[in-house]
Amino acid sequence: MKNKTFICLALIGYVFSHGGAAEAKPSKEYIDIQITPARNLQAEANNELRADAAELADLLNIRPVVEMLRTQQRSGKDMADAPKALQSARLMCLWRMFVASEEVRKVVAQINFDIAVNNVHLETLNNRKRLTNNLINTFNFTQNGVLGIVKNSLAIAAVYPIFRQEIAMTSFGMSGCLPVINMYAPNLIYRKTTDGANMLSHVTDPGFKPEYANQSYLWKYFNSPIPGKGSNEPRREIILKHWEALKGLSANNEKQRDLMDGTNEKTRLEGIKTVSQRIEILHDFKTHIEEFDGALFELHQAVTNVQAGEK
Amino acid sequence: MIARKIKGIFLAFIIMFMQFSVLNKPVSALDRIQLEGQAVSLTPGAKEAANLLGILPKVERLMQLKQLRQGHENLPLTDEELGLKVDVLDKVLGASMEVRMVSGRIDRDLSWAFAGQGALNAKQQKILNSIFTLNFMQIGVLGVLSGPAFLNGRGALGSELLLLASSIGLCLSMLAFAQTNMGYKKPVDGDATILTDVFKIQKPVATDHESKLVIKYLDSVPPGARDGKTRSQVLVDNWKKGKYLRTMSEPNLEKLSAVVPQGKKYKIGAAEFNRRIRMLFDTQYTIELFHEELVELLRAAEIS
Repeated sequence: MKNKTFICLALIGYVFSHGGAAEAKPSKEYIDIQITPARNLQAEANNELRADAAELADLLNIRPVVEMLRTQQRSGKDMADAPKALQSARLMCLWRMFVASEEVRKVVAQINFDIAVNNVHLETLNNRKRLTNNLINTFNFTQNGVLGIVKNSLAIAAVYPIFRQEIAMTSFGMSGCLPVINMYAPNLIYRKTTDGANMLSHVTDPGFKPEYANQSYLWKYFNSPIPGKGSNEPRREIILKHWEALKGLSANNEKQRDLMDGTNEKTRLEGIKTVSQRIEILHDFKTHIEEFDGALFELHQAVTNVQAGEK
Repeated sequence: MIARKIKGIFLAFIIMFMQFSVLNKPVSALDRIQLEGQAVSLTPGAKEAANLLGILPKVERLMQLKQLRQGHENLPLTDEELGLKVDVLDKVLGASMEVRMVSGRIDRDLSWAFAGQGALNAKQQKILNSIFTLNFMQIGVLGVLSGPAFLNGRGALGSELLLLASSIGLCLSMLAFAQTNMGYKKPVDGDATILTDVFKIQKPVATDHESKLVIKYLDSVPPGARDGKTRSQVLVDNWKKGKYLRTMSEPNLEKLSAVVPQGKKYKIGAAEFNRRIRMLFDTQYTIELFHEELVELLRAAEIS
């Protein structure tokens, strides 16, 4: 008797827990990350470049020019009156910053496209889920109504007492079973897809290398470690660990990775959970890419906003 | 004779009316060059941008040089023209980067708010679904159990079971009703959003990237505004009108801006997340409109 009770309780518990799959244990260090280097306020007080601006000046290969322009700014003269050579240097800085900024825009536009496409897929899947739930509920109410009418008609006519109870039991039995089906049916809703790789593959696929890799400042930035962090992990790896900690996305699980980034171009099935997780991760990826904008802005400020007379 | 006079007066009226309507037309980018050879003027948007960037005298000088160049467009740029052009370009590009940087920060706040709202909605939906399923199941099980009781001639027991099922059903329905209205809340977390600058709330920690220009833009009156309200005030008024901002109490503004002062604990629900999302989108749109003024400024300062 005790065993039966235990089995019943375990079954009920399973039904209500929705059978959640075990997720990778998150590493707290990576839950909230920033991919720009931490500021060194002491160095800044000594008139050195901010850490993020300095990294970008090196990345864009304009560090000496930036220092030269800062020196000129400190003299207090209007930069518009500076000689032609200095104007050329300013133009070169602006040019490279603009190229880097456009690279960010390009990647963000691609991520936005992926988000839009996946939102459409998610809406389609959610519609199918709602339709399934509504149909099962409607069927449940209908069978209750029909069997109730039959049973009560027999009761009014005072005939078939056993049969009409059997009808009632059937109706109640179905009322009990259909909600369980209703709970699990949405988990069986998938969409077939052959969509190619999305922007997440830039991070999740270790072998991924775009054609423009050698020219792209952004790509170099993502494949370099964060200065001053004391670790050689490139930003790509850090972001991957962040997703692992945040969403339980395992980089070692090839099947899970394929579902996320779509690198495996074979026909595959994906459900609501996969698509909504992908959207969340795409949003997260976008916000980290846009951190580059902040660093670019600081570099620009470092060149233009030097107060006259600063050390 | 009288007819001619009336005709003349009528024509004079028409001419006066046409002049009046032309003068009162809103100034657009296309109208920036005044009629036939007169001084070149900036659009109100370009003028505001130049003022905010502190380069109005330089832009005006560039425009003068542009006028002097008319008919000599093929000559190379002078040192002065080059210096001014690089300066204006530098400032405009810097402003554009600042707008993008702030917009990126808002994207992050939006992503955070959407994730929080999604988690709360999912939790509520999951619990509601569980209550509904439990309700259906208990009615089904007790109903099935009442069947044999009726068949075995124990009608009272059967009725008691059905009564019990109805009572539990009623309780669970009330629970579901309460659940729908109550909703769930989670502690306010994440960095302070841009809304702190719109509401003028003290931030507990300074923002990593200062955005003085964007804040100045938000705190300035848009060109042509008749009511003299700043962009921030317009945003707040619109939110009040749309019932997104029901109270200007400090805790409410702090919750919406994701600011938790020391010693306080705030919780936020799905509805508040929804309001925050709307406000963030509005602010992002307002800030990004600065690009329009920057484009007008670049066009005005262009030397062909």
